[in-house]
Amino acid sequence: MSNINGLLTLKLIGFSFLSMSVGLLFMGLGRKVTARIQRRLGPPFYQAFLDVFKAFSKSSITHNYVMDLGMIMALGGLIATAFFIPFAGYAVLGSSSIVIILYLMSIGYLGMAMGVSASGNPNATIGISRALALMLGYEIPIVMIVLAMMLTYGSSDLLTFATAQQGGFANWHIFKYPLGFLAIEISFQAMLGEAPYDHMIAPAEIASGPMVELSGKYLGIGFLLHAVQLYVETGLIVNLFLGGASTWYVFLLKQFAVYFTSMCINAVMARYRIEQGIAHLWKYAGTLALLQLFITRLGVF
Amino acid sequence: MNKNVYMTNLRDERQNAWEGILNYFRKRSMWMLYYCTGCGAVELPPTMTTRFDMERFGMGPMATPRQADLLLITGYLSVKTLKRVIRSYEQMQDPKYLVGFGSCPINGGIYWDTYPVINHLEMFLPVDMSIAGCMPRPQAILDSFEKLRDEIQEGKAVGYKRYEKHYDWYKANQDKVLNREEAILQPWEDPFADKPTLEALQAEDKIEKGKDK
Amino acid sequence: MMDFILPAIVIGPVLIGLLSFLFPRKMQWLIFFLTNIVLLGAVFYIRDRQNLFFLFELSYFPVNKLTMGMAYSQLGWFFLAISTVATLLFSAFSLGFNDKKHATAIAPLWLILVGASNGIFMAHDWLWFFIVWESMSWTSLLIIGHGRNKSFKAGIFYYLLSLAGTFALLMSIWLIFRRTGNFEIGSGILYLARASEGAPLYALVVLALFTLAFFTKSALFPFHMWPSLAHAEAPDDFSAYLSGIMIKYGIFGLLLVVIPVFAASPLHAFKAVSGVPLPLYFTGWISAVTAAWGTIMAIFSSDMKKLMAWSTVANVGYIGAALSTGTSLGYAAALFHTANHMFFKGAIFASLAAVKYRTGEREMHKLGGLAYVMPITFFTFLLGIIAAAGIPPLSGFASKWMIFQALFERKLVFQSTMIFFASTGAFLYLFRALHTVFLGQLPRRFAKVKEVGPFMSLSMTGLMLLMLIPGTAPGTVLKPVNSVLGSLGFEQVKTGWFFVQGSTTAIDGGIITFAFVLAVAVVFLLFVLGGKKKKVEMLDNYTSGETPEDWNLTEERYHYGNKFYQPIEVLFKWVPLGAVEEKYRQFGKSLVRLGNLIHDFFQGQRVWGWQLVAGIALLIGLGVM
Repeated sequence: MSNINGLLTLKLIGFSFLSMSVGLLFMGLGRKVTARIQRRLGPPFYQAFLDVFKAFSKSSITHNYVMDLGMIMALGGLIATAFFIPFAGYAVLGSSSIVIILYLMSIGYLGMAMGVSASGNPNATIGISRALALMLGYEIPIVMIVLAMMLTYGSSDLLTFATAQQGGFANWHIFKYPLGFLAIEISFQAMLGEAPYDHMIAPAEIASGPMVELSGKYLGIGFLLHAVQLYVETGLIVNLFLGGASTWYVFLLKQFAVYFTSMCINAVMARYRIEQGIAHLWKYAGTLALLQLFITRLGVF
Repeated sequence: MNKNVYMTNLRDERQNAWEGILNYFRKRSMWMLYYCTGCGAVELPPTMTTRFDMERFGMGPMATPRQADLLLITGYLSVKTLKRVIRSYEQMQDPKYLVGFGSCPINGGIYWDTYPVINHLEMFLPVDMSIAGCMPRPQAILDSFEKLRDEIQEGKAVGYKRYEKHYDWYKANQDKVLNREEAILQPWEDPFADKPTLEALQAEDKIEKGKDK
Repeated sequence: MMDFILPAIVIGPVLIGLLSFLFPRKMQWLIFFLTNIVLLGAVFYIRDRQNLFFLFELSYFPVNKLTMGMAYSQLGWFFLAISTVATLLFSAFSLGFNDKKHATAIAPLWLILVGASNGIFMAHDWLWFFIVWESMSWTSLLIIGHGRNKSFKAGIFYYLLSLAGTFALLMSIWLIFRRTGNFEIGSGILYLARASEGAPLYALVVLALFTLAFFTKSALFPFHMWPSLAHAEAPDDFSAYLSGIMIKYGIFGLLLVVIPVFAASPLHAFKAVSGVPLPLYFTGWISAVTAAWGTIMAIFSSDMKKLMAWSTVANVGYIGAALSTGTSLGYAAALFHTANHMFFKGAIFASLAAVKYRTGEREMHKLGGLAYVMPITFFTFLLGIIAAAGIPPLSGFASKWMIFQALFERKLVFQSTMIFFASTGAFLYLFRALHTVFLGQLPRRFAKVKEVGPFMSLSMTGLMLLMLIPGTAPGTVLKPVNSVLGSLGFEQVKTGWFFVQGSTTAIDGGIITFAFVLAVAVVFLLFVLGGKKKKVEMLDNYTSGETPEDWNLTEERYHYGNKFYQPIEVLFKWVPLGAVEEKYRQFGKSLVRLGNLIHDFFQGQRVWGWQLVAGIALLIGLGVM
């Protein structure tokens, strides 16, 4: 509490725009990647910025105050989470507890869920119900990996994990916890809602799920939400497995590498049915993570 | 009330510099909602996929009218589908553009003398762009979108403002078909029967001749 | 120091309760409320007066001079304080709730219950503890029953389970008394700790009996099903008390007896698994299973009160898991979460009672959209579920974080995984309740529903503050917790007003709240700068272009509420979730059969034949010998 001052406030405002811009840049690049896989030219890399700006300039509808509150709470919660992600070895708040990150992310999800279901469209609620059901699938493997690392280092600080991997490729956790990395890659796909876990936004089936009633700036907030989510989740994986980074461009590059992998999988996969998706996550990601946890608990590594 | 709104010139409002900047973003990011009432939609997949790649211009499909900027009427409209189109159009948010696809929305196409078919879409909703052809090829579609983009930048594609301004006239036309109760085995009456002269129109809207294309 | 303030706190409410039977109903609730205000003053008056006691001498006991009564303890005071604050808020709620249409006659009984509850927290010896424990049990039975047949059945089930627990308690008290010759709690604990080395079996049996007694009360596995019956059937305003405070008696008992014994017993008296004594490791797993089980059952419930009752079970599981680590951090986390759960579950049940007060509906999928007409109730519920899901910056996060720190300290990673599963699941069922009751479409028959009256609104506002403050400044609760730890000889938790040090990392509630508020402010700015917005009707919705009137679309039909998590239900089809209940049912059936057999033996048609056979057998037996 004592270190709250004007400078920190400015830094945090800077970080909130950084997280949004990085995410939007990745979204544009991701569309480009998908386009090239489909042998198209694709939109320009800054397309997501154009989209968001246009969305904010449009007029929009709201159904009630809960919808406004929910959308603001959603993006606010996710940006607050982004503050706790160490960016290139720098934790702006001086703390990067992984438990805070995992729980603070939920307030973003809760806000989103609340905002869209206040619109009163059943499609939106079905999408949310699917997203939450899927959450039960991917959260457990992630937690198990984090617990394994916590066992090794006796700390639950993300920055500790990142600094422990310094000094070359060989120290990266991707080699130290290979099973864990596989598990978290599978979970990451579900976390982002990319194929084969894109039940939540199934445009042809439930009319893009949560986004069905979002118009204008609400949709813009929805895009920013995805952008910040990208920043947070890729940042999480880079810090957990890819050795963090000491310079900002290396950090961004590593983040993009994680997203690039995800987009490549997304471009070639079909969608699971929802309960198949959860079962698949438990069966593969869950087993891998559990194995990793066992191995770490027994002290093999 | 102006009885022939569908003929009025589009450039009825001046844009300021800020609008010009916004229009740049609007034309670079157009999200479509296509209303696949007829056969025209079959030309959209090739326009979107590898060969022509519509996404180059920031255009992409969207799931619901709330999210979309561009409503494509891809084929003929019956009385039944007209009702849905109107509801969808009204649920879209400003600024919004309506594109008639193929000859059916223009004059009924090959169905022009059938009783449940609407021959002139512009009587019911403000059409920003019509693409002639039965059906238009992807090149024609892309070309017309290019034109639409130019019009958006110039501030000419303001059909939604026209709809708001002359809502009573549109509403009256819509009610005429949607609420009719007697059985009619002829096509709906020809709207061009009392077509006004250009001079009358210009006098009514106070538009200089030079700016009319 | 002998003082009459302790009996005033304990016996006073009982006497006032008995007296208030004479008054009309409306007056009874006013008396209840006023008594609670006085109680709150009295409780804060006795704060930190360590030497306070009130003892009776039982001169008619032949063996040795025995005393019975109440004494101040720091642990007891902590429970007394939080329960009194919560009770005051609940009583304010009840004052508004019990109008002409909804009045129940439970106020005097509730007052007696409050007295008994205070007595439990201030107990000096086992005898007194047992007496107030028993009076708490039957009073709550009468309240849960409250003259309705279905409720009474639920009450009977609850009471039978507590009766089993009470027998276990009596047995363990007797076992201790036989060895030590007195009923004092402190000396009993010390004796048990010493016995754990010399006579480990004896100590284990006594501890197991205690644990059984407290597990039945706190609804830990395998007694996890009674809250779903009792909490759901109890009077609506009483459910908050039942779920917030009464479920914690077992936790209090565990904190009072079981954990101190393990803390005081010599180091290698029990086998240890990753630093945890084996019996505690076992209860830790039971708690983790309880948490997961309660969560899954809550996901499948469609009755909103049942859902929250299952959520209570899950939360007791978290507390039990924290306790079972046996560390000071675990002890602090359990106390902290106990306090937080009291307030957030109280808030949740209060807002559900408010919903039922206005709508008369309990099935969630028949409700919907109430947030638009009952904003205060909605915000109470919203903050309640944010706290219950453990989301920062509310109180539930701080205590859940501490529970995890306690588990990490002992490296109990698999239990932590289970608790994390329960915590994620909590998010699922809590959101379901939020959506189906408060969001989505508002049915037309509830369109004219109004916000509840001033007493209920004030009570709910108070509960909201009690959820917000400990989240930002955990020190407000953790400092009293530290004094409890100090009085019991545990190591204290390092904490400031905002800052808490855990085993693997530290958090600062102030920083988290600041970050969140700042981020929300940035987003709000973006939101205001965006294009203009327009408010539309709820049915002006995306319907694939269809006009709602054309296909008779009503708000009720456009509300997604029933079978909310069907994919998960499909996944869990193979899990025998009702197995324990089925075992109880079979046990009950065989009891009835046995009773019938005995009944038949004495009164049935074949009685002569049986007696003949028995007589012949007896004769043959004698002859053989």
